[in-house]
Amino acid sequence: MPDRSIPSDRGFSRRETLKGTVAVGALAAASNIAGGISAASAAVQGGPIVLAVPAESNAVNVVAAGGVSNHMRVMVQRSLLMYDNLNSTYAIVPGLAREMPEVLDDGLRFRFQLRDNAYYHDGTKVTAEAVANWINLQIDENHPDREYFKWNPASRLRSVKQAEAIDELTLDVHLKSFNAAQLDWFTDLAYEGIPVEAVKNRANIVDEDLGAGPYKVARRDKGVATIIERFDQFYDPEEGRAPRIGFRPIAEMNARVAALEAGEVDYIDSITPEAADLLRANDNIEVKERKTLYVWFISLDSREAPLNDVRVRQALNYALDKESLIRDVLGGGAERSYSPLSKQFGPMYAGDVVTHYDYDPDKARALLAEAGFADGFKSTIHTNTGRRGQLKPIEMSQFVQANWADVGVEVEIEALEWSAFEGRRRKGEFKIATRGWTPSTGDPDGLLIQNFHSSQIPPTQRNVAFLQDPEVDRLLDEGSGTLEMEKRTKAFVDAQKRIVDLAPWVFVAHEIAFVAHNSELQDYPTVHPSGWGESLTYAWKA
Amino acid sequence: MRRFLLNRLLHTIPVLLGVSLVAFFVLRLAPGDPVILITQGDATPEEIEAIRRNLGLDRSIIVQYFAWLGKVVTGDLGQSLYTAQPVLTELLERFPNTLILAASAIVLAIVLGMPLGIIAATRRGTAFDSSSMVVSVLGWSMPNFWLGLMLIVVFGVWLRWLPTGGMYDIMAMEPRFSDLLVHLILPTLTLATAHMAYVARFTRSSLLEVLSQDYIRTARAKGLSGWIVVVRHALRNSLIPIISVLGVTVGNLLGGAVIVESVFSWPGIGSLMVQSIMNRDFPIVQGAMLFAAVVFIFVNLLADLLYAVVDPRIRYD
Repeated sequence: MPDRSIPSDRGFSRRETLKGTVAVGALAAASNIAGGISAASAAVQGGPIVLAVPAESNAVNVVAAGGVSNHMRVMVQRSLLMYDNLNSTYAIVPGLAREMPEVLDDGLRFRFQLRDNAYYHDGTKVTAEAVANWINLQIDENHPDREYFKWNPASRLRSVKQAEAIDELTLDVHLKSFNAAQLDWFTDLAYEGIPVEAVKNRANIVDEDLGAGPYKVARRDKGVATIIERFDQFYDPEEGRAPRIGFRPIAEMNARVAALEAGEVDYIDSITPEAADLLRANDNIEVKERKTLYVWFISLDSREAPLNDVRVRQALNYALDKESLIRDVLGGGAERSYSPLSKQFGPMYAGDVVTHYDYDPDKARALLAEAGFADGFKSTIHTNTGRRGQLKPIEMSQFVQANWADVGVEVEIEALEWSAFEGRRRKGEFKIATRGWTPSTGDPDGLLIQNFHSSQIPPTQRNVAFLQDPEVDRLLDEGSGTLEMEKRTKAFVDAQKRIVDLAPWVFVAHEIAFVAHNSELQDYPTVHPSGWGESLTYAWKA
Repeated sequence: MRRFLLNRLLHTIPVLLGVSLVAFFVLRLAPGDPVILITQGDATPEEIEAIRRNLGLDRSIIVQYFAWLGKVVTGDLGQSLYTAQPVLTELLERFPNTLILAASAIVLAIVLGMPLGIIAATRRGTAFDSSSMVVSVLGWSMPNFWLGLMLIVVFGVWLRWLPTGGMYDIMAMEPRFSDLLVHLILPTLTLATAHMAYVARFTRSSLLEVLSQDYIRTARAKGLSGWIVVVRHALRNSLIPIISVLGVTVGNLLGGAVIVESVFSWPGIGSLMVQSIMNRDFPIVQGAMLFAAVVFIFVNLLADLLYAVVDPRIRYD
């Protein structure tokens, strides 16, 4: 019988959460009595903050947003659960929910008790009915208000069968089948809800937003800026210190850097290691590294010769000098990858226990000879022409091409525009392909299962290396079949050991992203590995 | 005149049809699937198919074209694949900003380019003529994204005289006109530089041609001063080719604005187009191309009408 209790190390225990809630309530009450001012306004500190973002949000609400800025989502919206923004970890803590959910029906039902003091930005109270209605509207094509829903359902709702309001503040979420990553999925902002009446007013969803986060949208000038301001009815008075935060879209990275140097903006992200070096020379600017969950890899289709021989796949791993690639091509903007999961996965990281494919061209040649390819072979690397989140795919492929040529493996590089590349890659059309991948949650379940489980074979799924190994399947099933963290960790670490030995990928790099801000920005949180948790709700500008 | 106008408007129909064909098919024939971009790779094949069906992308490309064209003739340019907002609304929100930038650039190009060309022509062969033409070649050759970044570094970062981008101070409670003007300087200069150089060179060559005409010699023989000959007799006759060049220049300005708007984060149609091309937001790109074509045709029609104003010999009756 799988253990489906809530793991205590993925968030506050119920008792801790309740204690915290009581303490905050007491503090708020005390400040009201003592100073005669509201607890909400007590935390306002400093002046407004301006952030430069690479792309403007199409809309404020996450469901309608497409490329909405992560920063803004975290500040304007609030889901049932959330990652720990304050400490910048992947610990899951209650958001709109008062405490971690109760797991019922063997993991098929999650019961939430919502906070009694959470409000949407129009002043409407967050209720189980509002959350349930919004979830059901997104997943049910026969929902009576479905005509008002013009967007694509969030992928993190695909496990949900139905949401049900038990009473004003009690919400049940029924799943179609057990999903060990569901707690992470509950951090998705699609679980925030929208006031029932507002659903019918589409404009509210797109531009005005009715989030339940610590900031509300004050002004939105398309292409120019979005300004958010502190929402005084937010349940936690400690969040939302800066009175206002502006988001200014600046597509060009060099222009973003210039705007920061000119003092026009307080914060920028998505900058290259070279730009980060330039900014470090400025005494008024602090550059921070964001070590990420991201992995850049080369998938090897294991169905046909020569890549169906594990020795060939291992040889290609040994033949690549990852350290030099990271230093020379990426300017140091990455960590070496030893296994699919980066160090940011905490206990799930297996880099210390898996086989290390350190650069060894002699060993690569020997393995190729053993496999009957002493003279090497010819093939093609498919890559993309570049996109945010793909590092430098062409330059990196050229480096790989040169390294592999040293051991007799001659590859041509074929670079395709991103969406064409991804469309064909997902159909399993490429023998060798490069790709960068950022897991959308802090749970390893998605990355490991989608890329290495035999049930995920293209063209319908994403295991483009066509790895079909019963032992890997067994370990991944074991890890994804329990909510108990110790068992999950062991199963996923063991699975990674086996996966690395089978070498369906060449494991290359985990990106280090760079952000920079001026020194006036205070209490800026430790950089969160996903970028999601980099909420500036605790930051203020001196 | 009415007949001429009607004739010209009828001619725009095949032109717009051609633009619609190019706008529709070029983007679709280019590799890239908008659904992959919309879902950011995070959707099951069934979900992808459902989205494709909802967006009408599962139909044949010919059927899609005629369905789109049928709506376009009624003024419905469709909806953005991303925001589900009407394309026309999105374009009309951005167009005034592009108009402000393009109009400022064209005014600057004329105000600085024409006098430069006139002086160069009247002082043909002098050091001023040679150096002004070298400067105009430089101005014409400089890539505007590079020039824009250089101006940002010098005037925005080093000197801190001007903002590095945007349209106004976003944290100001009320946007002010003076703030807009300050934000307009660098993008206008960037966009206008090449066109200023072009106008200067064209004015010079056009004026030189007129200055060699017999009637100019006659005017000079009558004892008129050099400037009166140039301004009263030569300039007006050299304006016709310049006006026709300016008509084309407006089209180039719209094209140049795509890059300049991106560099300066100017919220116009150009930056919207770049964003939409990256997102494969077909309806927005198609709508923007059609919109630009209509503006281009209108401006050229206006240029044709201006001929008659400048040259009384030209009549459209």
